[in-house]
Amino acid sequence: MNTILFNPFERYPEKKLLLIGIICTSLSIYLASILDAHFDGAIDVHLVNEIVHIKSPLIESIISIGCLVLFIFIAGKIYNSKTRIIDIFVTVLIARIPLYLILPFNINHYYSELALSLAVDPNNLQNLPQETLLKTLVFSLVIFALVIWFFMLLWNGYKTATHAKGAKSIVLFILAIIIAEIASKALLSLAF
Amino acid sequence: MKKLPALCPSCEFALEVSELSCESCGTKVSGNYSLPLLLQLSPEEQQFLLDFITSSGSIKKMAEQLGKSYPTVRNYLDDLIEKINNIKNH
Repeated sequence: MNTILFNPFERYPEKKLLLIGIICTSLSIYLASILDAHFDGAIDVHLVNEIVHIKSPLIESIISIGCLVLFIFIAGKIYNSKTRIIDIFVTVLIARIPLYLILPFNINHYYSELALSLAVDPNNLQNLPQETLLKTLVFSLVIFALVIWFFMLLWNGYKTATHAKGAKSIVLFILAIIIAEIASKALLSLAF
Repeated sequence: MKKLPALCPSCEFALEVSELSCESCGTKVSGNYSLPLLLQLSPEEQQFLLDFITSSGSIKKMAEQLGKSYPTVRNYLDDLIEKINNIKNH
């Protein structure tokens, strides 16, 4: 069970993972357009209170996934020349699945409206009914757990693809994510 | 089948062969002979190498046989190559 949830890259062939990854990514683009969410960065998901056309999550996903794959692959190649791009591509596609599970939190704009009301008036937190406050806390904890799960999958996939051991591989991995995030933000600002 | 020990159970130093005997006539040969490199690997590693040879050195076939992914098998092979190099250089 642990292998399936946290390190499917150790056991399952890349073709199977690639298929699952493509299906989930396609589904996430469709869901983002229905539930109004943006993938505006390599490691970002933002639930919004506005109508999102399918074109936005499609372009955002291509740029976000592309940047992550490119920079993690470069990091992998620097660390281990035997690193294959298909393993990194599969890693990124599968690792992003937990991020897609954040999307249902915006059914009826629930989370985005709550976030907006808190952004306008942070003191509003004290005026919220206890039930809403509890829901917000639970949702935030679940979202935090999903983000941790995303990073665990990304690291485990990178580790398997590059045979990573030691500090050098960790530093390269962190650098690759930071550069991918900056590059994707820059490209997205040009695209929209 | 008895497992041939490669390391001393007391100090973990590499064991050597000190006696060989002929099952047919009972002749015994004494001396100090190093264990061949392959016998210094664990039974699992020896089995992996045999499987690797019989699958014509195809990591893809090995991955299918072992129910592991391609990079996992390649990583195991890389670790094995490193171990063999360490034994050779020892």
